[in-house]
Amino acid sequence: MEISFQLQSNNPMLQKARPKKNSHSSYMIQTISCRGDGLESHAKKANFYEVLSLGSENNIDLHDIKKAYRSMARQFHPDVCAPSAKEESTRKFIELQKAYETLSDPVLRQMYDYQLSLADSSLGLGVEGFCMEVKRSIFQREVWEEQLRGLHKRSQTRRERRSMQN
Amino acid sequence: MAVFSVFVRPNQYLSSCLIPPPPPKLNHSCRQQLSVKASAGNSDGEDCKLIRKEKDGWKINYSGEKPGTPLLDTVKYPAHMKNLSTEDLEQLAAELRVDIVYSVSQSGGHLSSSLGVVELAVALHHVFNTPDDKIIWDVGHQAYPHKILTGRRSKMHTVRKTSGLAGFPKRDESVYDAFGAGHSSTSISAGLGMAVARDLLGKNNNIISVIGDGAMTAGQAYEAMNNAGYLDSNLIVILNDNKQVSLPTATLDGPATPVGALSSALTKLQASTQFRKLREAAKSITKKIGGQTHEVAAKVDEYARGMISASGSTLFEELGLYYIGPVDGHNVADLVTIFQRVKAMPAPGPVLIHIMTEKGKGYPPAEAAADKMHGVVKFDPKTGKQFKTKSPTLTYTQYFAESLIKEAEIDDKIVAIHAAMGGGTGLNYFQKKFPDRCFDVGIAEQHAVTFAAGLAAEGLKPFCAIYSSFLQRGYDQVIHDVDLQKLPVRFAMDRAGLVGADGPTHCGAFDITYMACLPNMVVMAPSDEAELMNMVATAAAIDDRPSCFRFPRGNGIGALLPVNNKGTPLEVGKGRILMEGSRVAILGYGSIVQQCVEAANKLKTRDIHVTVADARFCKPLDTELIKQLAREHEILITVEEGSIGGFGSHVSHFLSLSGILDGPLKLRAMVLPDTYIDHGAPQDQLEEAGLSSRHISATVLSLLGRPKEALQFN
Repeated sequence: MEISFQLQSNNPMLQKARPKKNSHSSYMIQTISCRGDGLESHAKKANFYEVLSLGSENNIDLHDIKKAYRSMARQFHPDVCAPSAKEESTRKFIELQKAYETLSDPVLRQMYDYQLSLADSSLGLGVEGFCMEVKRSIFQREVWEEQLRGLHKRSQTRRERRSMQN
Repeated sequence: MAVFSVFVRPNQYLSSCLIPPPPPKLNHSCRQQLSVKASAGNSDGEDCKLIRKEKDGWKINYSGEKPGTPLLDTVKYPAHMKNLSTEDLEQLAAELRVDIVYSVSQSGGHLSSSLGVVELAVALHHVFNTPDDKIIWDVGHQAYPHKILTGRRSKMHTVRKTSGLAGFPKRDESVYDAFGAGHSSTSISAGLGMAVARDLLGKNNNIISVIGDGAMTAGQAYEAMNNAGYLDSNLIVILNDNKQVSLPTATLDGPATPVGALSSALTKLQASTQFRKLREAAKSITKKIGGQTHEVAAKVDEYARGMISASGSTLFEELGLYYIGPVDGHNVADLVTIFQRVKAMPAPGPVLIHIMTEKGKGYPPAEAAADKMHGVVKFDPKTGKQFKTKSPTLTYTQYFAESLIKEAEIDDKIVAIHAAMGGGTGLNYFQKKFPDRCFDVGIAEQHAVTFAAGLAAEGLKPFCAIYSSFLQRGYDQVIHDVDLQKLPVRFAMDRAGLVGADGPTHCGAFDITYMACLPNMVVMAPSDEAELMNMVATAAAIDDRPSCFRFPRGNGIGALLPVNNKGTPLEVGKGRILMEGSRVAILGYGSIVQQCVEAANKLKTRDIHVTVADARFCKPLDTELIKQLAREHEILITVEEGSIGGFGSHVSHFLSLSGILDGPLKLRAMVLPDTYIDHGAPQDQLEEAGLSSRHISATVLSLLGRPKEALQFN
């Protein structure tokens, strides 16, 4: 998240987030919009691994990601490209930055991989395998503890309201 | 002996004590073993190793004799569980699993659904005070752990057998079974009713409804949640999500993906927790950065909130239920904590706790099986291999699927619809051949019927394969959407008549009555598998009005099948005579004709020759055949495996309108009695219903004035 703040403060591309529609349902994960995503990448969902030309094998380590990012950044930085292709290279460069941010942060990368598996597989199958691996991170105790706290508050306000009515 | 077995490998223990500092792992495992043995209490140390706790869960060894279950032996009723610690509860869950696997391996029944809710059952009974607090299990086939924990452990070997325990919760059976179940999606409705009654009566107990993600695909669950949100009564709904919607939980090629859009929404709920984390991380970072990035951070938070609330305030919240979850449904400690917290709140309103479980958890063969060993016959606990009896004939379901496939090969307008019962209706085979012509709509019979009507309205030929008792759910749609508009939807009603171990909840007693009273419906029933194939062809050929046919659970009788399994359409409204005789005519409808034939053979030994006819059609009746039988015989007996108001009723109506009943004819109708027949072996049920060949021949004899001889049949 830190990196994205720096990006967005220089970058005029911070726009109003659009909820991202997908064939699955209206509850599509809206992470990308949070990062000030433009409209273009909605059309073809950019696979971060492809963007960095990383191939599709698992367990690509951070070093490879960094190397890939640096080499591609040198190629596609707007200042390096010909002026005619400036817009396009800007866009591509931003894509690269986004891809690198996600994949270089282990937590974000894990979540992104999870999203990928949801998007790739049919409704339930792909989730099974991932579920087991990220099971512990899904069943975060804090989540339901916070929900229970919320419920407790709700219960108290309702009781007060009812005793006021009576 | 017991004392010695406590100190396993004394050398290691001593040495670890002497060497400071002791490696924690060694001590830990020693202590683990010690504590397990301490609670075991029996001298046979080997047994305890069969159920033991390892760092990533409890491991159970199924390869030998049934392991001892010392803790479970002390628990007969939920009251005995109140003082157990969390670790004891986990051990209890492991022992409960063992008990279920070994018990079902002997008796047959529903295995994996029960295994998936072991921890849930343990947690519920530990926290809540049943029977004052009510636990309502939706469908109920997962209630085996519940039954074991509520005083019925010693009878579990009789489950689904005659005079034994029911396979589903049953109020008559135990005060701990709060509501009877069998069909799905009724638990929230029933729970809400009980909650409102509690409020009106001024009581103070908890109501808990346990419903699965499959049952959530039915509309009634939403009707109930909608009402619950509106009434705002205190109610706990537990959504047991194991990503299995249809039965079997697999197609022929492997696991079935859950049907419907809801399942993917539920999956997203899981993902949403990760975004809560993201949001928390974002909040803490903005605090650190502060100042200039404040506006940016505020924007981010606004998006994040929109994002979180979109996935957090799910359908359930919008309906008025407070959502808690997802929770690991196999973690007893977490479940107990959550239940205790919710129970302690005075006025929480309707709460939905979303737990994730795995069907068949803890028994590797079930976890690995494509259908998760949902419904099993006797099996070997070591391998999970079932002892299926070989039969010379296939089931009626398979014959139906075969003949439908043959029809569909010729006619590409034929499509098939079922409601989450691909295995039970045989349409899994159809799906394999024609994947885009087979529709599984989830547990939604009403939708299935109207969906079929829509298909028919546009010129397709839909075959709706729904169990006789499940079609009751879609009855108004049959009348209003199909029959009233005379749309040619074909209904294939499997499990018609008595169904054996599943009992009255699944019994297809009423379909003749409720289908034959509809003005435009063609109603037919095959007496054997060859007739079934011909009736599938007949139904395919009837294109100007709706039609239906019913067939029972069970195997064929070995009739000669049509060539290539392709049936020939029968002449509508024409029955057939199977055996010629005099004085007495038995007119059977459906597979009960076989019992009639058996009865006729029994009577032959007494030198009585009766005519046996197969009516084939209840609507339109074969009036010529009936008139002929009435003319040529003194006595006419109609037999059907259905309730009053069905075939016999139509025949007597016809005979009275045509004036034949004014004459000398003696008419008797043999139908299912006016009561619900309990679960049991099919032959026992038939005996209890009074429709076996023995009863039919006894009826003939008493009508012939020879009642004493009726008693001589065995």
